[in-house]
Amino acid sequence: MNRHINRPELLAPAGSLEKLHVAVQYGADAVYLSGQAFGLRQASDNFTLEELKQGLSFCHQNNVKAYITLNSHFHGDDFQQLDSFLKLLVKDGADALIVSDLGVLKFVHPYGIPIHLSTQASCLNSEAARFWKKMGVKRLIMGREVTLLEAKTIKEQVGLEVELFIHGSMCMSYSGNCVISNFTSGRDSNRGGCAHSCRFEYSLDLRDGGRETKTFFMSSKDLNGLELLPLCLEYEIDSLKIEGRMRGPLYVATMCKVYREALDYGPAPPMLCQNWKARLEKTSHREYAQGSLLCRAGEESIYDQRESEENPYPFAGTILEVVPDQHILLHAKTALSPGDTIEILTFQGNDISITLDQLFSIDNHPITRCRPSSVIKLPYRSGVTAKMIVRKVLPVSEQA
Amino acid sequence: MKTSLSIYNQQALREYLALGKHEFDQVILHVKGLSRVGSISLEEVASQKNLPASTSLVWDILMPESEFQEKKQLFDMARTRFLHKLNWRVVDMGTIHYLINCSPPVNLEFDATTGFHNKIALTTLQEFVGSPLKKMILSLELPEAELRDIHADLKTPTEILVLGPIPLFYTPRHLLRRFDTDRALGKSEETPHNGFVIEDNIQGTFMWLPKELFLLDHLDEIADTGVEWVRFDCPLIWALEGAKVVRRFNEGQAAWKTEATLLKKKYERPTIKGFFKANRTNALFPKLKNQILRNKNCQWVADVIDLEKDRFMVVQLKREMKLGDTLAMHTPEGRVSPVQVRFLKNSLGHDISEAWPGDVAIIPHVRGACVGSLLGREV
Ligand code: SF4
Repeated sequence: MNRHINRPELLAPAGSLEKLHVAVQYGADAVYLSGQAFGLRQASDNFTLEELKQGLSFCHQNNVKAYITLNSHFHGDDFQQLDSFLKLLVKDGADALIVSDLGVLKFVHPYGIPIHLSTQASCLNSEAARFWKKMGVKRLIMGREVTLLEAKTIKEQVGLEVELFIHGSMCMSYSGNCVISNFTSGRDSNRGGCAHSCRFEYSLDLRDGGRETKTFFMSSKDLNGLELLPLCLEYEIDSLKIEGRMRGPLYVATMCKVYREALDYGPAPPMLCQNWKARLEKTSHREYAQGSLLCRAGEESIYDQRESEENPYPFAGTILEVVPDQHILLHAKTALSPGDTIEILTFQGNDISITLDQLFSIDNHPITRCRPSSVIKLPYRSGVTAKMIVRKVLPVSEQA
Repeated sequence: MKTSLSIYNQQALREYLALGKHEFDQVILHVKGLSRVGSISLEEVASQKNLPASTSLVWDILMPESEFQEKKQLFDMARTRFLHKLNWRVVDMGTIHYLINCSPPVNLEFDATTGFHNKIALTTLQEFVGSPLKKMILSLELPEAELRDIHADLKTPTEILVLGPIPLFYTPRHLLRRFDTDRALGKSEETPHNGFVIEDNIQGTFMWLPKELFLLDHLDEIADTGVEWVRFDCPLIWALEGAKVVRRFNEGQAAWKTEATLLKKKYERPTIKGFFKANRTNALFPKLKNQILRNKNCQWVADVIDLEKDRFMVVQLKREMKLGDTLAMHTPEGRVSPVQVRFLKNSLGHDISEAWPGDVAIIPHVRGACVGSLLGREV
């Protein structure tokens, strides 16, 4: 393995304290998270103040950075609670604040926490970068329309750190420039209320004599920049961000593990790349594209189809406890029966595949089928430790 | 109250100039290559000798680095040739930074139609740009009270849209090209709105709300907030009628309001007031997630993660728990019941006297418990 000294930081989403632990254990260099106000993911769990404190402390114990999102577009009243929140973040050692609004930036600047400019500010060019530098920004999370090469140029010309999205679902609009939800469902997409109107199926009247078509014309394919990591290394991109604070622990674990391995390896032989790609395929996603990382996203980036609910590799749960030579305790999140196959995602190295012969309840009764959200015992297996994430492998007959 | 008129194409510009007199205090020309939906060439602008004294050119596209370099050249050419005296209406922070560093300085108007919702942001930008900043175009999402609050600290004149389409969406990707068309009307079963206007042009794809903004019947309240300029983004014939209403208002004629109401009735499209009279944008947030439990001022000891009714509960600990502890169980619905830790076992079924954060333990079942309940100590 070839460890690159100047490799980009791997930045993972932490939509909850549980997912923060997952991200850290599966190899993230940094996580981004939100308190219960001010962030852009109002429908994710987010962190209570106590959880925030615990999360920051866990990150720092593990030498992982924690960035706090304050990237909603603030209205006047939103500033009221900000001072006390910032004082707490200073005390608990937040490593950076992710900000998009100039007013928020001005407000938070005196607290001395480094400021990362959110992608919501749609910083796309070197002149804009210069503006934000003068405003005190340390890092630019570039707009998703910026190519890797442009990010490199901006970094070189302006002397700020640059961060790019490398994987996840994509906003179709220029970030911060979509207010569909605001006017159609009273939910401010720039304050965390996006109703994902771009994912709807629309019926288009094409205005040339009644031609009408049904289409998901505004839906974007998901971003997958795995194959571009060598270029990210070469261009010295400072941070690569995985989207998905609303996604579950399995997604976080899979992304962090694969990207960690790929970043640490550097340019890899095709066999290894295939292996990483195959593992990324095990999370549910829309069709993948490379967004604008290489060249500006075009028509090929439109995901014109209904999203599938089917996932052949559902989240099966989290290992709660391992008692050597006795049992593994699994917090099952899906129904499991003897005969099912599960894969335990180890923190490093090969995953462990197990076909279940027997399942037991916590009080040692054999069970034929566990219900989701129950605690069950599996036979002991070496190499498994607490907090590992487990996926179920659906038999081919149950796959779509 | 002053009026401004947006003009998007050469035909409309010629029609306006053919009126022979300037009915608006300012015209805003959406120029080809630099604006989102305009097609007026810079040459056309240069060739017009009788433009109003106050004319502003729109450079409101957003530009990744390579496009920005191209557009800078287009702008530089225009500026050196003939347009140095006009104001430029801009959105991209990069454009602002570039223009204020030009020599001689370029006057600019900052268009904050979809952002800058607070006075700190606006005053910070005002301070940064300094004297070249001639106007700020405020967001469509600011209710009356916030507009008033913002003006308390703002020196720069401001403008809001009072009649015209509401922009919803802007992407540089071409979403209609596949259908061999550049305009469409959209509807979706997932929203009651019908007739979204969609345009795909050289700059990307844009969408507008089926209903247009109409605030002319609120001119008195708008003036009272401190807004100085009102803008018309609608076709000229309607804008002229709107400008007449504004004139009546400025002259103190009581009829302005009746005329505004009449104009609203006969306007070519359905209209709304937008956010001027209500701030609905965060109304739904509290419903998105049940936060009853997590925000309680309680020292949480454990999560209930499984249970066997009338026998036991499986808990995962956040804090130390001891045999004999008395705790309070809070269900997600907010019910609270006492819990006596009469027995405490580990996953092997062995009795233990205490358990630690991270441990899984088995304790007595409590009636009404469900997975997701929290055990805590009141503080
Ligand atoms: S609706 Fe789509 S394009 Fe608009 S903000 Fe939401 S995700 Fe982005």
